[in-house]
Amino acid sequence: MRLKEIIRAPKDNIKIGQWHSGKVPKADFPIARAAYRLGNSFKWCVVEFQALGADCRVLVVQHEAKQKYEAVLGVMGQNGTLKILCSYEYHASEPGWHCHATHDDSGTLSHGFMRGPWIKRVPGARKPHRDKKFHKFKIGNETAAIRFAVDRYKIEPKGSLL
Amino acid sequence: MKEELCRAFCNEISVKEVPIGLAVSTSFRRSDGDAIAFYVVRNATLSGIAHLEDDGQTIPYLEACGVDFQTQTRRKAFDALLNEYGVEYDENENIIKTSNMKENDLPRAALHFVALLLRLFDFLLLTQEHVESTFKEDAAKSIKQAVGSRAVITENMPVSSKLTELTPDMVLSAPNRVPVAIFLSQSTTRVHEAIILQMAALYEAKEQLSVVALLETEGTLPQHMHRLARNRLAAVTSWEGDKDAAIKRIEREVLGAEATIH
Repeated sequence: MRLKEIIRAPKDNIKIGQWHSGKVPKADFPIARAAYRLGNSFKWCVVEFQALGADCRVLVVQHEAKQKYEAVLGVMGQNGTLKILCSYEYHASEPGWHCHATHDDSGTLSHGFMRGPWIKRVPGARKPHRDKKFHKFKIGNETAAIRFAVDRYKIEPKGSLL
Repeated sequence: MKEELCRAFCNEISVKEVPIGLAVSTSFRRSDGDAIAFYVVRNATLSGIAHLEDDGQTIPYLEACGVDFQTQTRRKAFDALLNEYGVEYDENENIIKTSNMKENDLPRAALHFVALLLRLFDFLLLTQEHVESTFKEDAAKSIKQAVGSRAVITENMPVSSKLTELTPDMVLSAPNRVPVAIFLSQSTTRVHEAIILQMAALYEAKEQLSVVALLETEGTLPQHMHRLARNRLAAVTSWEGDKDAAIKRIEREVLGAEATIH
């Protein structure tokens, strides 16, 4: 299953989790051997959905004081760990919005790694970043942060006019 | 020359105001393409005093990419780096930071801090996943190209419902041929698994199966393991230094010698 297939597919069983701060438990977003140990200044929530019969999760992370945002999409593998396909990001230290993604089939990827050599940065680091293409929102706004992830990954039930 | 060097180092530095202070991006890049960056955090009570810190994701990111800081060797290396650069690691916030200093001292400290961050990201080079991925990716691609549509190929799937305990990297099933399970091996553990799968197929499931270990290098296995593997597996081939022959050997195992004569 490839990233574009998941984005284009109709989504079911969409669940938007609560916002938390600090460590992301493995049960919520199983990527590494242990929990994703974010510090207490980071806020995060998980959006779960099903697409093409696969369980998918998006981890939305933001840090208002440092102006950082990430929406990381993973598809659940056979052994209960996620295979990461894409991360939409904004950091104040980068020229603008960008993503780290792979077009490879999730079946060929390693389990439990946030980013490997198969992940490419789009646009390239020294290429122009088209910020106007994306929503402008204040990093720190929880509703807008989820909205952005929902829009990017088209996490809407079939026929939804949202 | 000096001016040109200064320009090369400085032209790509960008500084942005953020609520916590300043976000500084450098010309150095991580392996994922993002810039090595840090924050200047002004002291809330003391004017003219600030410290440098990372974004708080350096360590969580490295861990999420497979770097295990719980191993004694890596933890020692990490602590040695922190000592060498005179910085602290805040375990609760997962922040790497300098002590407070006068703002005049920040530029010099920033150079050292960036050097530390670069060295920390080098931990990624030691992860199994980064070393492993190129070999596995390249080998799987070559096998697929060699076999083409002449066999059904599955990846990371059990061989059959009776042989679910161990999963090979690839299974190639050609018409009227015994299926071939391939283990792309970088460790003795993986070769042990290949041997167990071959024995399980022969003596427990009683299914016809040829198990092949494709070693990344000859040095992947100690000599006694070479002997064990060669005496039990359908084939043991080596990738480094003889890739074409290794792939041809697998092709013969999957399709038979006659089908591979072009």
